[in-house]
Amino acid sequence: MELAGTEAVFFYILALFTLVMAIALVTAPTAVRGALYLMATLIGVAGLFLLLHAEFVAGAQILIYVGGVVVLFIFVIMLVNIRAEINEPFRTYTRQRRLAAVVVIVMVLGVWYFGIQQDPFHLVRQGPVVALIPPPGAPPPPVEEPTLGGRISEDTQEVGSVLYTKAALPFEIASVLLLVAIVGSVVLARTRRQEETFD
Amino acid sequence: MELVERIISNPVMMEYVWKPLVVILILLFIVLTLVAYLVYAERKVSAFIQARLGPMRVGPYGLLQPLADLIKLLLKEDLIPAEGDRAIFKFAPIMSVVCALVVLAVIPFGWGVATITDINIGLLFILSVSSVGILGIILGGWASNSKYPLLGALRSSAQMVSYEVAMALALVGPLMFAKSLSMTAIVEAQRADHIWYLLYQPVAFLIFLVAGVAETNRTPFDLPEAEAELVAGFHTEYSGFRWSLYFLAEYTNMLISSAIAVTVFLGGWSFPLLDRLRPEHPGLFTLLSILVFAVKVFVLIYIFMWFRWTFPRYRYDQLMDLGWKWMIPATLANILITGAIIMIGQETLGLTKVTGGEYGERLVVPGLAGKAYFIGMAWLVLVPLTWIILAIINRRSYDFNLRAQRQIRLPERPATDDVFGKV
Amino acid sequence: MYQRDLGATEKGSPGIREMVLNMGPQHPATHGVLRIILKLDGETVVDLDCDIGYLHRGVEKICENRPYTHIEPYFDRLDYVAGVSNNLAYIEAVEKLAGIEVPPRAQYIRVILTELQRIASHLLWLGTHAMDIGAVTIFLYAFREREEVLNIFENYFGARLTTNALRIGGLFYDTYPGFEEQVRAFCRIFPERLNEYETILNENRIWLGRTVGVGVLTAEEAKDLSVTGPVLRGSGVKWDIRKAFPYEVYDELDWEVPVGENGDTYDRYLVRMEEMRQSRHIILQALDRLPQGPILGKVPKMIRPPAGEVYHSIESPKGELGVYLVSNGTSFPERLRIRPPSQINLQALRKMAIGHMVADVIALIGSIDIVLGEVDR
Repeated sequence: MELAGTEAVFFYILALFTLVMAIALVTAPTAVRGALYLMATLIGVAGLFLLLHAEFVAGAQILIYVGGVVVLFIFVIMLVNIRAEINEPFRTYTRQRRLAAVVVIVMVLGVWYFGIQQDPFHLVRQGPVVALIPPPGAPPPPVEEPTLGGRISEDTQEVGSVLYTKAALPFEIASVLLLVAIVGSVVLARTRRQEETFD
Repeated sequence: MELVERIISNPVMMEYVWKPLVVILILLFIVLTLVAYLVYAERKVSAFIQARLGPMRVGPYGLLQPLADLIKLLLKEDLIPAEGDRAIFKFAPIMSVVCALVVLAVIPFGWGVATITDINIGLLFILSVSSVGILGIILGGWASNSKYPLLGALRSSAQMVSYEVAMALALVGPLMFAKSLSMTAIVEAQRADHIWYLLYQPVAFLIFLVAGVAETNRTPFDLPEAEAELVAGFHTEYSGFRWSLYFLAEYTNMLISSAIAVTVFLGGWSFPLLDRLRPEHPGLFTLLSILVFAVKVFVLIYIFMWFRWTFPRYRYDQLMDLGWKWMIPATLANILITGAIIMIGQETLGLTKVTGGEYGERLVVPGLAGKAYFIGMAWLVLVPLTWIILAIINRRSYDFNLRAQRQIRLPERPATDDVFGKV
Repeated sequence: MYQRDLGATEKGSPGIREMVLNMGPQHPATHGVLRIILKLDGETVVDLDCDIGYLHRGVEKICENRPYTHIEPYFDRLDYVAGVSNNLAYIEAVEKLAGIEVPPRAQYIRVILTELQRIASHLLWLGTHAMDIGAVTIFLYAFREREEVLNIFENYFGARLTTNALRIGGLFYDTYPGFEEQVRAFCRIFPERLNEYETILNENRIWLGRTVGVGVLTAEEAKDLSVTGPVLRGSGVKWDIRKAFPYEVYDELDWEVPVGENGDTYDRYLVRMEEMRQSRHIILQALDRLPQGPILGKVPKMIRPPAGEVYHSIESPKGELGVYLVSNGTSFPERLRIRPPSQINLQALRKMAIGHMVADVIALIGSIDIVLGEVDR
């Protein structure tokens, strides 16, 4: 897939940011730092969603993943083992792990390279190339009118209509799963004394 | 040199980078000054409510007080806890402030150029960024390296998360009328219908307002950070400018909650009589629309402050009880019943007309009949039904049966307090 | 670290983690230097212990080395919120022991001053209690009213806090010109101010949620713990020293004793609000019946009460303030023991707080209305 123009710039920045944060996540010294890098990684991914014109998914990613899941992670980390990491630091970089990391990276790069060469999904296409810095003498690129009125995000509409018609069954299953998780956690976390006082 | 000039004057850059940058800088300057003076306003409002004067010394009527406070805070010693994560200690207030300020980018302050930008998931963006701001509080409490600020931060953030659910669900009601997540589109929808969604969705407005108070950790929901409580607030270890960053974030959040409430429920910057000005004097129209928006936002902020200095504090379990067992069921009931009302109005009674055009498909209510229908249904059906549902859910809760107001045993009390006729 | 045995707790239940929390001597909500050691299970109080003595000044021992006339200023520093009541307790105890008659005019003026002091003390209680629970504005309003009373005191006594112009056998000062007008002016504005406070608090859902059912003390428990004052009356026991053992001219005036029903914080709040109204009632009656006459009775030059002992108590705003005076015939008392209502009422805190949450403990301390000067002496 050829990206050009501002899209390319944003894509490379975001992709680099996401990768750097992901690497920082797996090499973080403490769990809380790791959670923060996770948050940064997820925000980077949300930015990539925006580049794919999936705005609703990007917004939902931040709202749910960062605002919910990462907060939950941090709650758990803080409540459960506050100082364990610092008191007994975990030896991350043993020799075996380093070797395994190198092997995995080489494998991933190999798969990517071969995938790009074969292009089974026809991802590479030629689109109109809009240069970021127009060469002298070229006609000025068309500027889109900023939409002050704000169209409905087609993505939102798409997701909404699909979710309630074609994907209704997975939606319901997911909600039942969440319900089971909530009820289960409440049952597990309640102490006997709280049960007695409630009844 | 010519390359640089071409980069700068490129129309794409001009449209998407330089113009918004100028608006952003102006807006940032205005908002930050405004927030500093909001603190002053709070002190004055609280003083007048409490029968005293407030800051009067620094400048005429104490108007330069924020400046004095700023100088003092900047000159304070920057204390960082010896142990604990220093980087996170420094990062946490920045995160709170950034998430509070970023939201300003999508709020329509006025017509035309008075908005920095308009994205078509505006409301979702605002909710997402607010929920990221909660992390700033948790990290602040954690980086203080002490048990009590940490517990205070966790309680504070648990409260904020719970009330955010209520806020988000409360916003879904008017969205059903506006049919768009974009903030400008919501304002345009209210403008085109000549209605304020407050009239269609009173329950949602009320819940949004109260949840907004709880979001910003203000009284009556400020138990985690009140001084009289045992568990000290998350900002105990912060002093000087870092502490003022948290304060800034809190007041900016208050500003944002009011701005969202105004945009979604009170018609944003639109005012019925102003529309006539639009074709002839666009500049004047813009200014007036900003003024109208500002007035509405200040009324809501005044209500926030009014709440703070009138009500006592909820206890933490009562607070969470209120959020989960009263507000969230109320918002869910609101969505359900509103959907039914709209469907009946649209299909059965045919009171609505769907227009295309630049704003896409939107619910337009023609004339008085449709408006009367929706307003009537909202106040006569939605409110009582929601109340009934809440009563059924909470019929056994202690809080609900708190009508017990017992009189003390006093044999006979004089009819007036003046037993001897005159004092 | 000084730790007392906080009592046995439920053993053998899995998953209970208990934490000992110290509400230290310096705390915004403990109304003074009071240290409370809480044993918590999560958020619920399992046990509670008060560590007092931070303000102990040895008043009782000091008084043994002072002549009777010099002891009075020590008493208004006891419960520094209600100075006149403390002075009254001591003065009356000495008068009882020495058999000194007080002229009626002095008695009426004393009653007026004491009831004004009761109003001032209850106003301070209201302000701090409401502020602890979160309604900060009431604090400012209550103090505005308290300022009026303290202005009257300043005009009469010359001081706002150290009000020791009571003398054994009467008073030192007669009323100043304008006294009656000032007191009547205060009584004129007071009921509507009280109505203001009640409008803000009485039916407020949040206030009800914080005070109804919190810290219930049944009548039996209250009597067993020998609490007195509004705490006892809030629990349903109709006991007021001014009615039971009338002193001064309380038996000549017509007023009621407010009594609560359930013994929770809300009832104590209502009792004190009504007591303020009754105090105003008493003041107006006393002003109307104020006789002319001398203000100091026949008092010997050197006050040497006959050897013996006497216990005299009055109803101070906090409860039964008693003075147990043992005399050995000299002009110095042999032993002076003060029955501090705040300290004895503080014993009820443990019973009231167990089972409630930490945030309720603060409401309860305010509800008992303690003054550390009295608790520690």
